[in-house]
Amino acid sequence: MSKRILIVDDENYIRLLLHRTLEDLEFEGVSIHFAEDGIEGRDMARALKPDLVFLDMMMPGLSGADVCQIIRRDPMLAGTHVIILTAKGQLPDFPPDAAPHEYMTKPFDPDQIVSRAAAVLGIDLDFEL
Amino acid sequence: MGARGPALAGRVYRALAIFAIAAPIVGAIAMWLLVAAGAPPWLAGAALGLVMAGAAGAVGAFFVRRVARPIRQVVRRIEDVAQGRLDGHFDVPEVEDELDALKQSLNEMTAYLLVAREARVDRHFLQNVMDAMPDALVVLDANGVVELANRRFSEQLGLDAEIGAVGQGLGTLVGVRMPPWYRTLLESGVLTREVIGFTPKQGQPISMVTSGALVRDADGKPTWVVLVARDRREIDELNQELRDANSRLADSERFFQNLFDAMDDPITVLAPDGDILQANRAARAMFGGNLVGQKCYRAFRMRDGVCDGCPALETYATRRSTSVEHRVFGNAITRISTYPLLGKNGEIRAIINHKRDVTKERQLEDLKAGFLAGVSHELRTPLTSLMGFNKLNLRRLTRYVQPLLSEAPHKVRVAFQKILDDMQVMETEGARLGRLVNDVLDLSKLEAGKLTLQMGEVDVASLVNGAIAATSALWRDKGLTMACDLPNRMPAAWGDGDRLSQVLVNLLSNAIKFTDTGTIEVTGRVEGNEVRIDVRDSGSGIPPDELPHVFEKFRQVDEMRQGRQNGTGLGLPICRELIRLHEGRIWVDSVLGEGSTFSFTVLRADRLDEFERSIRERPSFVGY
Repeated sequence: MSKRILIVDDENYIRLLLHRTLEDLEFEGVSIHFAEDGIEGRDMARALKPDLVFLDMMMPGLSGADVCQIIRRDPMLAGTHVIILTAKGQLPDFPPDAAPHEYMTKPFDPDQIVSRAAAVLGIDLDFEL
Repeated sequence: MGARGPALAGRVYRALAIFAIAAPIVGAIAMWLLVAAGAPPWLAGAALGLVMAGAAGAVGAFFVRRVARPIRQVVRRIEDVAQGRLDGHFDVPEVEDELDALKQSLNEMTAYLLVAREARVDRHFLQNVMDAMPDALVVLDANGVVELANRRFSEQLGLDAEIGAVGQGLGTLVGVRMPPWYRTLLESGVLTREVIGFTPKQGQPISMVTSGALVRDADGKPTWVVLVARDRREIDELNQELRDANSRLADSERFFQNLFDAMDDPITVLAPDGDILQANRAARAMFGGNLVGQKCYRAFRMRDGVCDGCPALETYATRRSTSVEHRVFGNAITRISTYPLLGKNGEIRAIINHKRDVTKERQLEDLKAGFLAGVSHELRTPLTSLMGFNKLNLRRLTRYVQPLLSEAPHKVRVAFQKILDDMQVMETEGARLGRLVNDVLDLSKLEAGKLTLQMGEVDVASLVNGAIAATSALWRDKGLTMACDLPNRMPAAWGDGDRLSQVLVNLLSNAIKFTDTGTIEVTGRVEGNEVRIDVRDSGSGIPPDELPHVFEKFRQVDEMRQGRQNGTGLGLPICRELIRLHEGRIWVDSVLGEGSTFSFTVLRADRLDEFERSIRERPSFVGY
């Protein structure tokens, strides 16, 4: 089964940017999926069991922090790596068992996104970043 | 002068005495020798004469002795008296002769002199006391003739200071020899504030407010009348001064009462036991009616006893001001500040209680913080897209398009390179916009007090090395050298490592920005309870008139217009707020043309206790 990345962000262009940034990975057989808010993100995470989730913090409905907690506390999603994308200084305190694996600050560097994603998914990129 | 008389008498006495002893002895021996030798009888007769003469001399010596000594005593006594030594006395049990009479007379004379001297001393003393009085004072006898008067009385009536009014009668002094008030005084014994017109030597009569008393002798007979008088104009002047002072006091009191009442916030003055001593209009309006005299807990919070955590009591106990915020009636927030009112000796006389409704301020702060968080998010999202796509395109162009252009015409290759350069500018400027958004958010949070520090021990060497590493690209690019001087055993600082790093990186970036050649030097040292870090550059320095403003917001704007760029103008204000939050100090020294040194201090982690003890005091008011 191929590697799956889920991108959860309510901003259209941020989703597009992340898609474009990660498009090189699609050549490596990685499938990229999108959710437009927290609730859809939670549902898709449960259905898709992705290997990697990029999660925006500020979203209507369920916030990124809520979705993060749900994923991290779901035994079925133990293999899912969570990266939170947040503006500087907006990271709330997470309970120790529900914290994201890592977070990146906006505005983010596309190269960094690609290299982190490749590392998490265990993919060797065939180009220099 | 010596005692010539007695000395003379003594010599006569001594000569007579020697003669009286020697003559009979010589006579008797001579007579015996003559009889034995068979001398003629006339010679023996002569010797007998000598014996007789000796006996006569002895009698004479006795009389001289009897008379000369008392005379000597009397002379000595007279000399003593002449020199003022009046103590001493002759014992004269019975007057037997003229000498006794003389001694008795001397005794009487010295006794009289003693009395006279005491009387003179008494009168002199009395005169001095009377002259020292600021009011006019005069003592009259029953007939209204002045016996004594003080200097003030003489002065007021224009009389000679030495002689004064002594001997003058009421007829001269007030124009009537026996005025009715004097008669009344003699009868009733007192005179109370009678206005009497005294006639001075020259000019118009002077109205004097006069009080008096009658002095009687042992038999109850009126002897003296004592009058104390003061010029009526003087009294009027004093009264006027008193009225003026009272009026000024009333004005001042009214002024401060108005000031007190003009305050929109309820302000009360409390006694240490909670009694309300004063309340301004706002306090009366808020808590209803006249608060003065009520207990504060009753008036303010309808309680029957002292409230828990009473700030006034705390101020009373600690002599410090306090400030607490209470949530009252739903969402309203009241801040209560108390200040001690100290007496002259530093004792607490009362406590000022100042209440302020801070509900709106707090709501506004929350709103502002929320707004800024929202705005910064809204700004960051499109910025993220812009920068992300730009970077993505830059990568696609360099990775996929550039290799294809190696064979393209020169013009195309140049155009392509220009595209890459321009996109690089977009990236740099985007990054700067991102920093600006971050700085604005940081500063807003700092100013709203919304930023909390994650305090802990911060290793100074790591802090400095980290900051130097973080800015290495900047100073290496400009060809500057970086020097670092830290003591071997530097105690840890107490602070938020990330924030202190932010400050130091900012100071270093600034130093690098304004230095074209030379060295940037970072120095760490310990100063008392604090750790101090200096960042010195060899740049252009700051003009003296700019120095006080370097920590102000957007102060750098001018510099940016002059071509210096990449700054947001918020770096130093953020540093200042961050260091202030650390309870530290930040400042700058600069010599134009030689460079600037930015310095800051933070607490030593191992000296926190001492800082707690010296917690800053809020003001108190002395002299209530």
